Amino acid sequence: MIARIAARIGRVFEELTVRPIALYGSAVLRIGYGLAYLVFLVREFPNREELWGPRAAWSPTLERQYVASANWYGWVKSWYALLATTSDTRFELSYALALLICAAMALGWRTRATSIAFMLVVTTFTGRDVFLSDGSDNVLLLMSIYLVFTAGGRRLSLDARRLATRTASPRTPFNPALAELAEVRRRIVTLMHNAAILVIGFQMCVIYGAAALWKAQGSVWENGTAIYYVLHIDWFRVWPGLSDAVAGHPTVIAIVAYVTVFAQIGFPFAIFSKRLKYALLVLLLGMHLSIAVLLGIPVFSAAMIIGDSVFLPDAFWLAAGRIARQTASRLRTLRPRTPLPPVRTPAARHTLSRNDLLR
Amino acid sequence: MAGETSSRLPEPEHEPIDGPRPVRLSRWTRVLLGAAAGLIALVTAAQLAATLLAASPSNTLSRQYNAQLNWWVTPWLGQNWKLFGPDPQEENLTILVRVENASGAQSAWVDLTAIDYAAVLHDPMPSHANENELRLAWDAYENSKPGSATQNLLRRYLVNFAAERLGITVPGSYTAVQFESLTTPMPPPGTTAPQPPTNAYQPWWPLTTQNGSTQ
Repeated sequence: MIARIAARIGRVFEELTVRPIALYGSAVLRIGYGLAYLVFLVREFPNREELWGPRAAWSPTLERQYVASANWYGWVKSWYALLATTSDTRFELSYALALLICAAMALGWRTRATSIAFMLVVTTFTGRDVFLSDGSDNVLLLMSIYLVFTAGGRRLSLDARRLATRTASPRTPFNPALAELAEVRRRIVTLMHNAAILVIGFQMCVIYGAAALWKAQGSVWENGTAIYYVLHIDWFRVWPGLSDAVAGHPTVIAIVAYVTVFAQIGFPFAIFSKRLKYALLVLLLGMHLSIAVLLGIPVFSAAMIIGDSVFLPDAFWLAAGRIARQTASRLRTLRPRTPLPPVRTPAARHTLSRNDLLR
Repeated sequence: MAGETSSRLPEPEHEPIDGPRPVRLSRWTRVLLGAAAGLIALVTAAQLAATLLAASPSNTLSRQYNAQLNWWVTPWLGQNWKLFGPDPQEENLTILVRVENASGAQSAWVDLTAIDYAAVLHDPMPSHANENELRLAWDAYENSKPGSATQNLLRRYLVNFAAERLGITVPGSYTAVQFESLTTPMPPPGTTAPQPPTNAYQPWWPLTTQNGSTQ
């Protein structure tokens, strides 16, 4: 009995150190968050001085005094306030560098080093004035840290392309000790990746679960009028006509309020059911797209949609890529219809779900 | 790139990271791997627990381990997912400022929120400068402990913000700034009658140099 359990633990450990899960998923996260922050920084380019520059309202002096009073280690303080510079040149160079790093992140160029740099970009921009941060900054900040530990460059990246074109001659290790160390390194990297994917998935569940718990405490979420009030906050009235049109349907917004709370509280459980998971992901996608437009918070919505994609298995991305390529080539050549190559069968998916920590 | 041609066999979803394997591990390297795996498991477990505790409403556990939790999550791993919960705000804010010069002459009130609302209108991707800066600075100021160091910093933040929006160069001819906030309840659902606002004045605050060095 004990031997069986030990053997089983051994097998699970072997799996976790040998098979990286969701390689496409983590690549999609890397591309998504790299692009999201790139778009954010490009959009804020005209306002960069006002938000983070040497003469910003939250001045470098205020930032330093704020950080000085914090109960953090010295190195954390220096890192946190890294962008609080009084030099225009240094600020502009930092901004340009940040744009380049975000682009490199999306492209997957030297991914491990770039993802560390990306994390530095997001932490320093967020830390420069924490009072500017909304939910989008919070999600991006957390994800930029988690992504450092993933192997997001293995797929859909310049790194992957470079490795593929390199002559695939198996390197014969001249020294068995070195070969062993290389194997240990490989396994540690894989385990770290799998742990980071678990943390990312857990984080998404916590966001939805916590958002639902908070809402469930609110009287207007209970009586179904919460969305009416949200749509009347002047700071989020991007399309007042649209907001009023939606807010003018009490039944609709009451249903949407209840569906929102139930979808959010149900999500952490739904990921364990294949069918329910996809249904809820589609529902949440619709919710994010609606609030992106209605409330003018597209970066937050994008950050959540990208985060949700961690729950899509590699088989999904492979099938999606295959269908996209087929459609593209058919559109290009306008050939007569040819049957699609077989999309993964449930049996093939089964081998995947066995290893997938998130289901 | 992987799976470039559709004629190729479907690639296995999971594959060894790179290069041939397996390599048989000796005792030494197994110990090394075990230690690293233990560390990863520990950090992962701590992060999962901290995420859950920091995101939850204040509870017995999070209060008991408040110090450890803060050590782990500040400044970068904080969690705030209220997202219009428990109750979204049921009133709108109008924030006005006026300035005073050395001889005591006062300017007319300028509506700072109107600038934000106008900028946000019909912008599919509003800037943090208009959607967040004043909104969150004011919120943080209102919720800060009266007389605390943080409140002092936030007051100077608001002063700098007002000067920036008014296009005032500091130090210049203006010496002080005053904020007034009007809180207007939204008309309850189904009604349209405008509700009377309540207002509050802040004391006159000195307009100091941009980084507040004279204070």
